Amino acid sequence: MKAVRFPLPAGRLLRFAGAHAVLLVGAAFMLLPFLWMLLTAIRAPDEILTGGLNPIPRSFHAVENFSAAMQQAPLLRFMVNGVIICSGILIIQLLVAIPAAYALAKLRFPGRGLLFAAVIGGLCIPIQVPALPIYLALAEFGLLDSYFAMMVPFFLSVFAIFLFRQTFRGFPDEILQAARVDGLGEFEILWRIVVPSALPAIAAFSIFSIVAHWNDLYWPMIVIQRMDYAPPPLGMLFFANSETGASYGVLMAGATIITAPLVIVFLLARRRFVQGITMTGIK
Amino acid sequence: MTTLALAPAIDRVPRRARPVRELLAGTLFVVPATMLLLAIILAPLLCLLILSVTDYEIGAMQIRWLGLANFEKALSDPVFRRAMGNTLLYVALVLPGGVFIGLLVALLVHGRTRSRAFYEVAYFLPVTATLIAMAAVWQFLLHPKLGPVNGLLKAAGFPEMAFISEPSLLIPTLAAIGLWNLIGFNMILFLAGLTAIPRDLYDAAEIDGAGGPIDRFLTVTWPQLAPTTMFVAVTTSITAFKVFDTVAVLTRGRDGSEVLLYAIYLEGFQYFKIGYSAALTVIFLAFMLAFSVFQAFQLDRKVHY
Amino acid sequence: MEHSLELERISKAFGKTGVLSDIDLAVEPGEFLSLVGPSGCGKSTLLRIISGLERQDSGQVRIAGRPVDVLSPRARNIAMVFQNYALYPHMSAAENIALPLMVDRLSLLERLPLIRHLSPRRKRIEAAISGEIGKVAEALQIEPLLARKPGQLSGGQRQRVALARAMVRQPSLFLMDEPLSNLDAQLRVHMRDELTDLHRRLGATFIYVTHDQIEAMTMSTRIAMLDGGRLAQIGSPADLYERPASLTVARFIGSPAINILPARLDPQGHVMLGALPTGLVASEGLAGPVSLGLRPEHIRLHAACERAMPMATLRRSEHHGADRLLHLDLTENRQTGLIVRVPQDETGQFQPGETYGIGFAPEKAHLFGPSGLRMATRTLPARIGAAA
Ligand SMILES: Nc1ncnc2c1ncn2[C@@H]1O[C@H](COP(=O)(O)OP(=O)(O)OP(=O)(O)O)[C@@H](O)[C@H]1O
Ligand SMILES: [Mg+2]
Repeated sequence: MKAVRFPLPAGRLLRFAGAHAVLLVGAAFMLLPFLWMLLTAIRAPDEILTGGLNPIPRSFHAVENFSAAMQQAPLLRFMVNGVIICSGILIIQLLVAIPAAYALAKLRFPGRGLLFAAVIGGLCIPIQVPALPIYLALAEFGLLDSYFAMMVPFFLSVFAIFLFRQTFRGFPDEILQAARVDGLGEFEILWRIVVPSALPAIAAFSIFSIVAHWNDLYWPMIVIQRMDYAPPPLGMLFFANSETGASYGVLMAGATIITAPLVIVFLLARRRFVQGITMTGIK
Repeated sequence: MTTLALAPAIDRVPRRARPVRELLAGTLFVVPATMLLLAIILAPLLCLLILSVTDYEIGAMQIRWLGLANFEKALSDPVFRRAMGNTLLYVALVLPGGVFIGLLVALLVHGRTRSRAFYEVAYFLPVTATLIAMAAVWQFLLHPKLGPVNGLLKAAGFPEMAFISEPSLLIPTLAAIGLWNLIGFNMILFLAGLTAIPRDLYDAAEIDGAGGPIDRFLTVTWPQLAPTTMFVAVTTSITAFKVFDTVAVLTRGRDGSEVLLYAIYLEGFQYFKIGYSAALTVIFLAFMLAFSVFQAFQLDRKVHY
Repeated sequence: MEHSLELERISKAFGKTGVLSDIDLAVEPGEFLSLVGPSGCGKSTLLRIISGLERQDSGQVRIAGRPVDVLSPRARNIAMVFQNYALYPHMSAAENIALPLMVDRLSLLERLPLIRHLSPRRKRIEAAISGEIGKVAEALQIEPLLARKPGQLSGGQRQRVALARAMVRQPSLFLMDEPLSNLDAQLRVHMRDELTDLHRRLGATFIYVTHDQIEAMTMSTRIAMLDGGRLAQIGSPADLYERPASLTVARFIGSPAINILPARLDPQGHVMLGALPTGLVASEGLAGPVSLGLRPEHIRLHAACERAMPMATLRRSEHHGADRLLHLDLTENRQTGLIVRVPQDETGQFQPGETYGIGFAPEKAHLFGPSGLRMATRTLPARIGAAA
């Protein structure tokens, strides 16, 4: 009835089809690597070597490839390293940044302006800049090849301080004053009143931090020589260097295993994840 | 009169009590952050600047002050110049591609209703994947003999392309992978910008006769997105300028793929020419600061709009 | 002469929620018609249907006698002023005003960046357009503002630029969606005058959405009130004030609001307040509860306690310039407050805490049935409290 009165204009239909056509081609380009990774990971080596375009594997070799990947390189070890490094970094980042951000947002003390200026300045300095001196210092003290070496440059996140300061500033002063009147100390106010209200920002930052450090290659490549400390990307780099055609199936199986955790987290918590990563841009 | 005399006294008690408490708590709270700031940002920065004017090498017996010699050497070093040129070429490819493809995808996705979630996931997935692992996948995809890309080219009657060994193809190939990794992120930023455009403006444009897709874009969308576009452009430049991971996996800085960060890495951590590498890092830092200042300037303008 | 705008059985639903049903409306050329009604009743939706920004589910819109349902907003030759003005923030006032003309007179190619400079006739057309902008700007006294961007204009100035953008195409139909609601009270009164003036000067038809009944009463030639997606009443401001078709209309029009007293119809049709007859008789209708509407200025208070009168206690008296508003509580029914308007010079006699008798002329009272619709009445010669 509606359609009879006002038929969908041909122009709109055309635009609809056009948009989907362009988007689907683009989406295919975006997803093709994932698809081919999965398909190759379950293919037999001889089929890979013929280099066919056949998407469906003729024989399934998933078990062989994945178990070979696990044997050739300590993939689980890399993952565990990744978890240790990411959680270590995140915990210390939060412990350092939250009180500092609160002080910058709500407390008056000498040097506040200077510290905040330093934080802003620190925002434009990527890890590659202080890498060299920190490396020299770590080498001097014999601390290379350790979890500590991988974590230490990231203990301070000026970005976290900046972000949390912005969040805390919006917190109403009246509530803080009421809490002070009630006899709460500043530390208690921070921990019991301010932090719970900032949980969304903390969650977003946590995702941001985890993704950044799970994926970071530059710094581990510098301070880690021994495979048993390698985080996933560095492990992948070691792994990828055994570059023979026959092991491509195994390599893809390894890539699948290394890519899986973050992709799964992304698919499960899309909103938060996007929010967290988008902060990379704001940084 | 008595009340007048009392009032300041009452006022003074909390005024004095609060700062002491605040001062103590505030100082205590920022101590760890300040120490870390000194230890892992400021002191290294100072060290870096000093190292950049020396010839320090690990294991060297003595250190000489070189003044600006490291910088002069860098500017005349063909390897570094190639790295610089390649990096700028990479940025020149990724920047317009990342901005315009990201914008196009966002515009198309924004109009979708039921399929929007699907496209968002599809385009964002590469952002979430570990780039090193996916670079290995790309390496396989682009393999001259085994990869499906060359397989397709051959099937379509084109000659085989050596994407990862032919030097002139290296930077474009890396840029394509960089774009693949970045577009979803830019799309999300543009989508946020699009959502913030008031619907009234589109209605007004329609009433004024500017209701066609091109008119809508020129009259409302593009001007309204200008701040977002600037922001996306700057973040894309910074990301592109820091290209490293794909180089490390795919080419290891081979001929034709030297880029700035990889050059710094090689000089500093493989050849241990610390002084020279520090000078290169200072040049890198100068670029980062330039981008940041540009961005701060842009953000400032957005605020005062 | 044909109608400027006709709506025939317009219905609209968003998904499953119906917003408008069977709206019929005919507007004469040169009318100033206000669309009023409570928030969410569909005023904006109706306006957007008229403008073509929204499609009705069924029914027909005719502008100047011509069905326009398949036409784009532009082809309908209408102008619209939005609540938030919807000025393009990156364009100067002059560019904002020029846009509708540019789109009208230049082809798409001639408007594209860079390419447009190739057009030989563009300069000439743009000169003509800026002449027209000058005229409109003069009429609205915004010439000094033309170079500014909307961000550098005050609310009232933006309002005028938005009006100029609407006027410049010389449409025969102006649609305005709460154009004054974002202005402060003083400016609102001022712009009210300006809009009325403008309407007279242009002689065009105005459809004006507002939920401010004072605006509707003071500016319109007719008011259409929407309620629950239906047209509750349409008529001149005096019609709506003096003969409200329903309780909703009665409550909406008039400030302070009309007093509504619970009353009963006895089997003979006499309207009873409690046990007291009012002198008002319903021409039809069953015995049972009804509502009696009394405007504040139609109630008289009697100090002398005549027995046959409802009683009320004065709670508070407010100064409103020439008048005073008295707030009373009915003695019989404590929940029902009562507002009475009396001229300032008569107020001396009334003291808070005192109890007074309530009197009114039955022909001034409005009777509403249980469904909220107006009931026809006649008056009996014997009336309560009429002896003043
Ligand atoms: N695009 C839409 N999708 C779904 N529902 C809508 C849409 N637009 C309006 N509505 C609903 O239709 C009803 C009427 O909306 P409308 O905007 O016409 O009200 P209004 O009379 O203009 O109210 P107000 O005085 O608050 O502006 C509301 O209940 C609203 O929620
Ligand atoms: Mg509305």
